[in-house]
Amino acid sequence: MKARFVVLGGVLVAIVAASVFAPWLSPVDPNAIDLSATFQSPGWHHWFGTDQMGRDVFTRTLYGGRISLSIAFCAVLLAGFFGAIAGLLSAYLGGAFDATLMRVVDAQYALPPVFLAMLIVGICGPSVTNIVIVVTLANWGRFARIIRAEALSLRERDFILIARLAGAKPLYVVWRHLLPNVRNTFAVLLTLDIGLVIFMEAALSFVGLGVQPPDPSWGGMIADGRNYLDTAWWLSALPGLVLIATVLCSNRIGESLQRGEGAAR
Amino acid sequence: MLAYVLRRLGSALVTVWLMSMLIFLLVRMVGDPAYLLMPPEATEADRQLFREQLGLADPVPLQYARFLLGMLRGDMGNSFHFGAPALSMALTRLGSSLVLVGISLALALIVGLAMGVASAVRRDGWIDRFNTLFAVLGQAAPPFFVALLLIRLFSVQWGWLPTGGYGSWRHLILPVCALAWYSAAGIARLTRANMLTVLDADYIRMARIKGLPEHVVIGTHALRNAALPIVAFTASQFGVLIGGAVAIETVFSWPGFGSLMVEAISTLDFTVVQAAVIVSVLLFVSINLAVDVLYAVVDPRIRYRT
Amino acid sequence: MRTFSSVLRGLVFAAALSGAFIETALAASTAPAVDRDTVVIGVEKEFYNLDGLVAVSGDSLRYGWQIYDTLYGFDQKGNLVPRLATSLKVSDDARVFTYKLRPNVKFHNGATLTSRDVKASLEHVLDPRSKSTRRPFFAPVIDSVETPDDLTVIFKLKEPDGAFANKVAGYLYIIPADYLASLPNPDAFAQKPVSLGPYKFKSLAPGGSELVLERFDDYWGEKPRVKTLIFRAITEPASRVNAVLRGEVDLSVALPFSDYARLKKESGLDVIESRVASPVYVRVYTNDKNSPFSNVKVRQALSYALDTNAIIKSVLYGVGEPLGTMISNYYPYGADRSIKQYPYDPAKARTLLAEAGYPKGFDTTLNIQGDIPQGVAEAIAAYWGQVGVKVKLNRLTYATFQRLNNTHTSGPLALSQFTNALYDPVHPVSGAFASNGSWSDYSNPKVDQLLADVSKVSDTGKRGQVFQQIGRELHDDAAAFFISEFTYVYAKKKTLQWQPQQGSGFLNFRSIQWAPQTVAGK
Repeated sequence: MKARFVVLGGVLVAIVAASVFAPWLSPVDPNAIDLSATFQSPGWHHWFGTDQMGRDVFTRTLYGGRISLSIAFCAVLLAGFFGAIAGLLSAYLGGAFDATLMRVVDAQYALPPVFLAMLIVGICGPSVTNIVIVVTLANWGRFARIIRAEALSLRERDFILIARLAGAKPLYVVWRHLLPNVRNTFAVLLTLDIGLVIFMEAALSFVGLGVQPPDPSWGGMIADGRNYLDTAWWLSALPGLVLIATVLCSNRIGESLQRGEGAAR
Repeated sequence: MLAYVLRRLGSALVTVWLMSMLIFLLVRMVGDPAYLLMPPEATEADRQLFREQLGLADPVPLQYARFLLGMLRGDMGNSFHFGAPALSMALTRLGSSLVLVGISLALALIVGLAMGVASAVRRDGWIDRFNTLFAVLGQAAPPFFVALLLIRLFSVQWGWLPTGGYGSWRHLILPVCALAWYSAAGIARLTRANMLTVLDADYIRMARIKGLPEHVVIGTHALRNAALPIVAFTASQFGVLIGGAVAIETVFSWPGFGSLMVEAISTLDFTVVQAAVIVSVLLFVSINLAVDVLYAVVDPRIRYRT
Repeated sequence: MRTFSSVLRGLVFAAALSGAFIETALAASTAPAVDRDTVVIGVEKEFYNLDGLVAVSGDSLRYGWQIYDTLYGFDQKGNLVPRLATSLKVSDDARVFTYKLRPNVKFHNGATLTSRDVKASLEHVLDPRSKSTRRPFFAPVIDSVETPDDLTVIFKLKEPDGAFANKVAGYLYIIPADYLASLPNPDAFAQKPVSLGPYKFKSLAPGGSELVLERFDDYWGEKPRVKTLIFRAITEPASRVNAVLRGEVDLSVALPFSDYARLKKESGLDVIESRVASPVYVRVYTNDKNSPFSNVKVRQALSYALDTNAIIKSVLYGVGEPLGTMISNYYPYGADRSIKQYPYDPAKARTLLAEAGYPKGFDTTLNIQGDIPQGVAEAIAAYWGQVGVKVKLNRLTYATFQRLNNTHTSGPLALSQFTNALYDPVHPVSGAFASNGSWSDYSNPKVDQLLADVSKVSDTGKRGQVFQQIGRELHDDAAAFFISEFTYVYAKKKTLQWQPQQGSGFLNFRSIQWAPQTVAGK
């Protein structure tokens, strides 16, 4: 078990590091076009081949990773943090606060991510910051609702009642007793969410609202390459594999963490 | 319970009303349909005439008041593009999305629960490994990418199924598979995680010591306690897929609700955007209310204090 | 143990169920049986507004020539030919247009065509309640319409308009006056359109995803050979390609260029490349004196810096043709094939830039939207980057792009494309290059003078000559950067006989038919 954790962690770290150190790993400009070298299949010169504009796919995958991963991490952390706090408070405080917050969550659900993106991009213009905002806004409600559900069922548990009878303040109970017990679900949700957010970015790129060309992003590259699945499979498949590997590793790591928690209790 | 439901319905209506105002304002900030719908040769006078006809030349509060009165009558205006009533367009497309998402989630729930429970019970066995692979792959591959591969294989290469469109059950198979795999994967993993936690608890040990048969322990005691987050997750998946499966709907040319919202806003069809958002809010408020009521049934320890 | 067995049972059951699914799917037919009386066409956009007098060309081009007819029409090459009218007389000052109507022409609902219907159709366009997008083409021009008898219509114009006959042919679909009057409001016409074209409206799926048309057996002209036309909206290009590969549709429209080579290899399909007399070009804001683009040397330099042949060959997969000016070579008149695009000469480009005072180049922005393959913009940016001009690409949604374009705020550069609906260069040329053109930020007194001259002339030969002069001036002055002739790629089953309309994106299925004595099917 430990060995697997190390392997997965290693792969993930490798991908993240590769993205961070992209300019040193591949000193080629990811946007440099070369119309005489289009659609080269993967080989010695171009490890991942070239695309329809002659750009090196490996370099673009690395740089795309920077953008896709930073969007993913920011959005997941923001949404998770705000969503979880909202959910916990909502479950514990109950009453009008709970009712209002849950209606806000309902409203958030009612605006699907792509639609929300079109609203915000339509009003504020396309930019990476706006993508992070859109994805966070489209995501926090999940955390709020699910964490609230967990916390609700915990609220009536004996150890909580005992703590309150002993006179503990609400924030203390939330921090010391509720939070650790929702950590399992929270951890699984966070790791599930990375993949979800990366997919959201891909879907946004599909309708042209994601990262703007010519800048690369994993989702954008998969979307662009979808017309060439027959002739130039590497355009979608290779960034796709890297994306799948990243999501896979983060999911598995989350699960290993959760198992550790379970064993400790 | 009745008082609770009525209170929830009241706050639901308030939500719908507030959202209708918000979307009314936001959509008008996105753009001016007169520029989109009139040819470049149009003069400003032509565009102004056009706006007047659409009711867009009046001050926004007046427009909203008119809209609100109409909404109470069930009339949300006609689509700028199609001329058909916006509300009926939204409801028709909602219907076709409900079919797709409903079937996908039903399948996902069956498969996901079965896999999750089996994995938790036979931890690290070969079933667990297989299920994990299934779940892990299902969550790691973007659904629309899976869809493209499915079409490539089953439609173009082997010619078993149509590439897209709407009409017969045959058109459902590929989209359902693409959607269900992803959802089933999530449900399976969540089920497994929660079941593992629950199976460790004292009351489970108590039940076993009492000599209760295993399937009662798993089914009645464990699953029931693990069910809450799974229910919440499935409900959120339902919502996500109704409006959020735009990429899948595009790839399969499935006339769904999500793509209606996206098309309406990209063509600045205000009335359809408004109608679709209001329908969407009503839908979610209802789903979440149903889920909350279900909580009370599944876990009687939850009391509603509001 | 029991849990294990029950779970196992569940899985086996699920497997059996999926097996059954696959079985039935296999047993069911794969390619749909082709009905010789039906043609299924895959199109790239849903059907929004079926009122041809109200909808924009971009929408009506798919159904317009099937359901509707006009007084005069365009033949396969774009020349004006009589349709509902048998003759046209134009006054010498190009202000009075007299049409004589064909007798005994029937509408889809059985009514007979009279001059009243022509007048009512025009009034439908001019009526503000219709919200017609064709109104700006007629409202400023029309003075009055007279109908002295049932078969004569006289249009009197406020000012001479040499292109009026083209407007009537391209935009003025004829609808029945009484039917229109019977509707509660003008919007209702689009729900159930009635006209006198070879096909009549049968049904439209909600959301516009499928349109069904049926042959009109009382059509005045040559009756179509195919009874039913089914248009299916398949917005995803890859799905549209797959649909025609699989035989789900008999003909697919507007296919991506990247699939051109692959489709050509398919034995059962014909692939047709059709120029639509539309230039893909970069609109330039030249009126701002502070901008480098107001200097003709800069514009010429950047024209030399582009290798349009390479762009067409690689980014557009060879589907296209370079052109040297705004007037496409596929217009029936007005084009001049001797006007060639600027040759690729980056050295000369750098020299000219230095002469103009920009030896190190400059920074600029190019606005783009989704209709044109984004590779074109990226290639332009790359070529100009080589001579020191750094281009930032600004990708906009279609709605925003239209708005900026129409309010003259899409500068300094906007990659555009122009749909031909009139088979006369006046529309794109005056719109883009007249000093007061609707989407023009260019001012050239020579061009203005020539445009004024051409407006008084309705003879197509003379119009052609003037436009050739305009074309040459636009080329020499590098008024814009002309990339390629916009092209549509169609793919159809070999057994389906059809040729696209030349020089236009308008779909014409009036003479489509299945090859005789062929077994219907793949």
